[in-house]
Order: sequence, then structure tokens, then C-alpha cells
Amino acid sequence: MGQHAGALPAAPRGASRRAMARREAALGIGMVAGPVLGALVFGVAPLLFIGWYSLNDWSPLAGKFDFVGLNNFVQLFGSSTFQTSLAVTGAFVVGVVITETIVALLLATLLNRRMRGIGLFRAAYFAPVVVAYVAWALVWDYLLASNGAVNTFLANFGIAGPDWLNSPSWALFSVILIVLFKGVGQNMVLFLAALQSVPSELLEAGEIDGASPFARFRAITFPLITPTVMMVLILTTVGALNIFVPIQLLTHGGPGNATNVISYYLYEVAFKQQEFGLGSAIGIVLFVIVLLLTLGQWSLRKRWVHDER
Amino acid sequence: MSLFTAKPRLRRATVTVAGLVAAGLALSACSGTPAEPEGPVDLRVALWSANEAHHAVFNEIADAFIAEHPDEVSSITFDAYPLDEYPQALVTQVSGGEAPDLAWVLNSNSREYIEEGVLADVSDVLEADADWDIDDIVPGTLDAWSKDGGIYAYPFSTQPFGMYVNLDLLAAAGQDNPRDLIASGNWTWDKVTEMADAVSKSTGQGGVQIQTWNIWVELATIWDSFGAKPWSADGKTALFDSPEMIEFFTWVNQNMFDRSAIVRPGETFDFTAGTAAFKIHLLSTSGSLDDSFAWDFVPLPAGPDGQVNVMNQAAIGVLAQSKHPELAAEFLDYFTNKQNAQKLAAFFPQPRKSLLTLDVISAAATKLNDEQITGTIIEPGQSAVPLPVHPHYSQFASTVASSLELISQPDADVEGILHDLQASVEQYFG
Repeated sequence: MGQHAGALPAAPRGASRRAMARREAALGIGMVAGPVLGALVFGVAPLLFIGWYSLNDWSPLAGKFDFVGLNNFVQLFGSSTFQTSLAVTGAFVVGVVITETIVALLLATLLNRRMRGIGLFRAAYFAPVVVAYVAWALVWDYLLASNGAVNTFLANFGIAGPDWLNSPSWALFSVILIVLFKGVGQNMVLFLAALQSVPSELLEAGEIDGASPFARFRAITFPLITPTVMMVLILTTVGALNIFVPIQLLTHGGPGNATNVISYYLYEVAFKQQEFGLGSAIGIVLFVIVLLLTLGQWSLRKRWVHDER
Repeated sequence: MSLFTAKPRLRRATVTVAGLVAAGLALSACSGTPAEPEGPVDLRVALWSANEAHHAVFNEIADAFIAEHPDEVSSITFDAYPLDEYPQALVTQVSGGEAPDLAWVLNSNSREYIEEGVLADVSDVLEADADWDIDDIVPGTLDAWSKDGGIYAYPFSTQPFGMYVNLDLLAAAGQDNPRDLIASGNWTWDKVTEMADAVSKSTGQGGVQIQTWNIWVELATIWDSFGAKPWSADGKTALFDSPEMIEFFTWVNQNMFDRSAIVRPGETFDFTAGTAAFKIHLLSTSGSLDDSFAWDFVPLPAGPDGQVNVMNQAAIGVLAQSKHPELAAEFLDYFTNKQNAQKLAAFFPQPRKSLLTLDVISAAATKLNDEQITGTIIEPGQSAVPLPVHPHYSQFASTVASSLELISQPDADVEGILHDLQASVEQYFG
């Protein structure tokens, strides 16, 4: 800030300074009040309420709301269905995160080149992202029916395809596949943007030094896109933990409990069994799992993410 | 500068704002039912039909009620929700403090809604009204909706299940006409599965289509004729692994995989589309059938334990958490009195002796002929037993559905699955 030459303005008196400080404080509070209120009302308050509900036996239809302490959590961890659900959720998240990250990175690498018609391929892979999940699930429901298009196609080669969505052995794999095809385009676009920001002179230098394409990717490209890889890992993990729509539309958590992921189990307990207190306890457990996984990924970033070391 | 390093005044102000917000939210969450407002009120009815013709009749009855009670009721709204999500929609509304005044109730939820106090007792209002005429009600049809002399809902739709048959598929497979089998006393599940297997093998289409495993109580339309019951009559003993149940589900599994008589989960054969030979359902299905294939609607076949007619019910009741329970009970009484029940009978078979006639039901099921209405609706309706109901149905329904999905797998250990199921759900009995 420049200063006028000559005499400085007279310093404000003590009372004026205090008044100005109050005005500044009021202005500051006014400016942060909106976001703080929003975070409290739409973020913190629902979480606090869920925490409170999880300590109660709440059946809305019967008008019952009784404090039961940690009983809901005790009941939950003693439930074999919940234990199965945790295992299914783990398998689902690992399956989705690994396949979606690797396939998205492969696609982005393949499509990260200047050539005629490349936009068409990029659009084709991204298209499922903008398709409504309900429509996507319905199409796959027909494709994967035991007498559907996939098995009809396999039958041409003498292969008897399984009952994909109704077989305990294949249902979870099928849902992972459906979720993969639906979401891989989004991660592909993120990776594509990251790949295009890799300085070409570094890659050219590597090429001049005789590095193979794989070596250039491993030593130059991948380290530089690790911030995006970390973001994709966090977003995909959180998304996979909260998956609900395809399970609800395609398998209802079955057959048996083969696809009964924790977010669907929460819905079943709260809305079908009408046990909101127990459902809230599941919500708290899910929240803690998401929080721990996200914090874990975040704290490990210094070990492998570029510019964080 | 974070909140924790801010000046004390700023910190106090921020904490005060947060406290006020939290207190406001807590107060709004804890506030009780508002006082009954003065003046005419709006009554709201939750239901699962969005059919315009249904709503036209409902609104006609509601308008007449409003005209008779202008100082008490200003409007009556019928809010439709999809059937699949209907119980959940009801729970969500009640938990949000927006309970409808009246609601349709599924047969399967009847006992738990009554036991848990979800529905209000309306017997005083109904029994005192000569126009409602309780003596006209078919004996036994209010059983699932009553407790200790109280009446908690009116089963506005009471009808027996029947078997839809695709005659074209049977003919293509060289099979007998079901009417001939009924006449000769050979209309049995053994014969039906034999015919269904033949249809599947010779036409490539489906045999017996089971609606969905999620509505597993409707399997009572078959297991009742095997002498199987999911629980004892008093609801205190689970019987999922009884010898009769094991025999029944073993039969189901064999007819899915050793033969192709029952459509397997995951197969897309559908009776309405003409690609399944048999389907058990209600008269309402006839409305969605056209002339693209020849079909019939016949009584349920006999099983090893004889022939058992089974009825489905849907009822309308007043929610105990309604803000206007007395007005709602008055409307329920008016909506279902003898005169208005005749209007409802245009769509739903009523549990009234005066309305269980060929003329009345013909109007509701225009695609069914006299023989189908008399032989599959009216006569079986006299002896039909209700679907099983239990006070904790919602709590174990999905556990049962999950187990039944495992039973419908090739080489399933039916007995083991049923023993596991029994162990899982026993906590809800006794």
C-alpha cells in the first residue's frame, strides 16, 4: 500500500479504534456466519442427531423412543448378518477401488494422445457417467439375466454362463462390474487431465535417454500424477462404501447376503425392519469406517504422493 | 486464525451462534404434536394406487363427505406412493412428524401395526353407524384387522388368489385344458408342474412364474396345500424347518432344477407377456391381459394336503399419530359404509355379503367371465384363509427372503438352509 508524502493522518483515538475493531469483528462474524450455519445445520447437526438416535430404541410408526445406551451397538456387533455385511463391504470396496483405479488409468493413458476421432472414444467411455443409475441398472438386469444377452452370447461358444445376479458366487462380482463400467469414465477424465499436465519436456528427455515407454511412465508420469491418484482413491473408496442404488435395484442384498453391503443393510434395518435406532448405529459405524479410511489414506500421502514428501 | 485462537469475544459469539442453531434444531426435533387447529382441516390419506379411475371414485366420496362436514374438513388429499416402497414411505412420513391421517395397510403389516399401536381402534364409530352395517361383513374377513373386540382397519380389498393359465402354451405343448382336469378331480400341483415342465421343454418358455421372493408370504398359496405353516397359529413358534416346510421347499428346488417347471430367479419369463404358462395372482392381473394369447383364471390346485383357498387383503385404517384421529375415523366410516363400499367394489372386491355377487364383481373385473368369477372368486372366497401375519413380520421378512434366495440355487442344501433360517428368526417368536 502506498503512502502519501507529507504528514500522516492523525492516529484514531482509543474509542474510535475499539469501534472500528467491533465493526470489523461484526463484519467478520457476518461473513463466516453463513458457511458456519450451513455446516452446522446440514453437516454437524444431522451427525449429532444420528449419534443420539443410535443410543435409542426408535420405532417411528409405533411412536416409541426409549434410551437404550450402547445396546444397539452391542446387538449390531453380535449380529452374524452385520458381520457378513462388513465382509461383503470390504470385498466390494477393494474390488471396486482396485479395478476402477487401474482401468481408469489404463484408459486415460490409451486416450492421452492427439489423433483424429479420439474425442469420440473419450466421450464413449465417459457416457455411462451421465446415464441415470436406474436406467443403467435396468439394462444390466436384462443383460445379465440367466437367459439374457450375455449368456445367449456365451452360449454361441458353448459356454453355459452362470445366473450372474442370482448366484451367490457371481452376484458380487457382477455388481462390481456394473459399478466399474458406470464410474470408470469419471476417474478416466480426472487421470486424463493429470496426464496432460505432465511436462512433455520431461518425457522427451526420458525418451532421449533411451527409457522405454513403461519406464517413462513409472519414473516420470506416475510420480507426477500421484496427487490425482490419491484423490481418485479417496473418492472411489468413499463412493464404494456408500453404494446403494445398484444393490437396491438389482439384488436387494442377495442372494442370501452375497451383496448385502453395509449401506444397503442400513436401509434394510432402518426402513424395512423399522428399527431407526439400530439403523442409526449402522450409520455411525459406516461414518467411522469412512473417516478412518480417508484419514489413513491422507496420512500416508507423504510417503508416495508427489509434492507432499 | 482458527476458532481456538480467536479473540475471546469472537469465540464467544461463534459458540453462541452454534449453540443457538443446535438448540433450535433440538427444539424442532423434540416438539410434540401441535394443538388441534380450529376450523376446517385437511385430511390426508396415504395409499399405493395412482390409478386415475380409483382416485376419481375416492375423490367423489371425499367431496360428498366434505359437503356434509364443511365446518370440520376443508379438503381430503389422497397421496399415492409406489407399492414396493410403500411401508418405507409411511415410516419416513411418521418419523418426520408428517403422519397421514389414514393409510392403506398391506396384509403382511396388519398384525404388527395393530400390536404396536400404529392403527387406532375405530370399532366404536363403525359399530354405532347403521349405514356401515357391520352385520353385512363376511365372517372372518375382519379377523386379521381386529384385536380384543377392537377394529383397527377395514379390508377394502378382500379376494382369493387364483391361477392364471396360458392356454396357448399348454396347447402348444400338447397338454390338457385345466378345466378338464378340474372336472376330473386331477387339478393338482403334481399335474401342474408336469404340464409346466412340458411347456418349458417343448416351447422354451417358462412354467410356473412365482411373483417375487420378496413377497414370500404369498407362497402360502402353495405351501398351505402341502400342510406347511411358517409359524404356529399363536405366532409364538417358528416352523420354518418343520418337515412340511422342508418337503415343500425341496419340491420347489427340484421343480426349478431337476425339472424346468418353476421359473428360476433371474429368468425373465413373464405371464403377462405371454412367456410363462402359470401364475398365481389376484383378479386385478386380468386387467393387464389382452387377446394376444388365450388364457383362463382357475382355482388353486390341490397339494398333498388337499386344496386350500387363500385370500389377500388390503385395508384402510386411521393412524394413531394422526393429528385429527376422530375426524379421520368419521371419514373412514363414511368412505367404507355400505353405500360407498358399492362404489369401491367397482375396483376392489368388498368383504360384504351384499357385494359378493356376480354382477358386482363383473363390474370390477370386466375381462373375467361368469365361470371364472363364480368358480375362482366367489365360491373360493367363502372358505379362503388369510395369508400368514405376524407381529414382528418386518423384522424378519428380509432374513426369510435371503434364505429363500439360497434355496432357489442349484444343489441347495434345503434342509440346512431352513435350519439356519429357523435359528436366525427364533428370537422374534415366543
